[in-house]
Amino acid sequence: MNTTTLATWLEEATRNLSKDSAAQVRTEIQEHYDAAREATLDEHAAVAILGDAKAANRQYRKVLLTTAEAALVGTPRWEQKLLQGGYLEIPLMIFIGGVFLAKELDLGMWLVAVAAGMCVFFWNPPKLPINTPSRGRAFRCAKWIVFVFVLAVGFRSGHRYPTTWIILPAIFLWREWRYASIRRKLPVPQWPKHLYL
Amino acid sequence: MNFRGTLPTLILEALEKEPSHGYRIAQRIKERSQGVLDFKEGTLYPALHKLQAEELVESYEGVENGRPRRYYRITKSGRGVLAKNRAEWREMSRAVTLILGEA
Repeated sequence: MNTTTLATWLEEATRNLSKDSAAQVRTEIQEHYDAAREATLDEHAAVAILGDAKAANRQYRKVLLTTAEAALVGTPRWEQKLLQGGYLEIPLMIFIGGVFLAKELDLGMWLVAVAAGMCVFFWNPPKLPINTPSRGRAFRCAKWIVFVFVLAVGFRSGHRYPTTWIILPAIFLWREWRYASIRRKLPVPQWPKHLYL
Repeated sequence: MNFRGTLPTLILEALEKEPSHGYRIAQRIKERSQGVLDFKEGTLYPALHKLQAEELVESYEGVENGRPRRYYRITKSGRGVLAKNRAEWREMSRAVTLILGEA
């Protein structure tokens, strides 16, 4: 075997990793390989001690950004802002929840006004000084409380409205799951604004 | 021997005395266990990245034999975690020995 084997190993180990993550893996594994060669291991043994590349890839994907995650971290385009930045589904859910509750409990238009106010709050977080992990946690906590509340109201009133509204919470959950994964992997100083939210 | 879950603690132990690079960390773990703990070295770096994200180790660029190398050193909180894990391991080892008896 020769360095082609190392290249094959690296190709497998960096599969679906972001460009930066893959470059990092290539550098550290190449260093490891060189050190092993200096320690008198032959080319085959220097690759063999690395073990299964697929297993390494699984481990790497738990700690380094994947291609899809790197796209989410990048500066959001306007459509990403709408779909992934927490700017659309939450305000919509709050509004729908507010309307449901107002009708169910006969509370009148004031509740719709409150819902509209909360929409504005969740629509505007990029303008709020949410730029530390603790402030981000507090904001996300508030977001989750509102989410659960709106979900409960939605289910309570679901028999009167199309069930397709459930797609909004699904988008919310998917996005939160991806962002939580990125927050675990990325050091706080590298977080873009929308990752705090 | 399978030592799943203990690799981060063994890495912290290997870095306790002095900073080191990945290959040397792997060799130190194998040597100190007299070859009993043999692991695939490709999984060492994901563990190191996780420790770095948890701020238990930090890395910096160094040079060895004219080659650039990434060195890792244990942080203050890493030493705290190592001491805690070591105490827990001794306690568990003592308890298991009480049950299974001395070898």
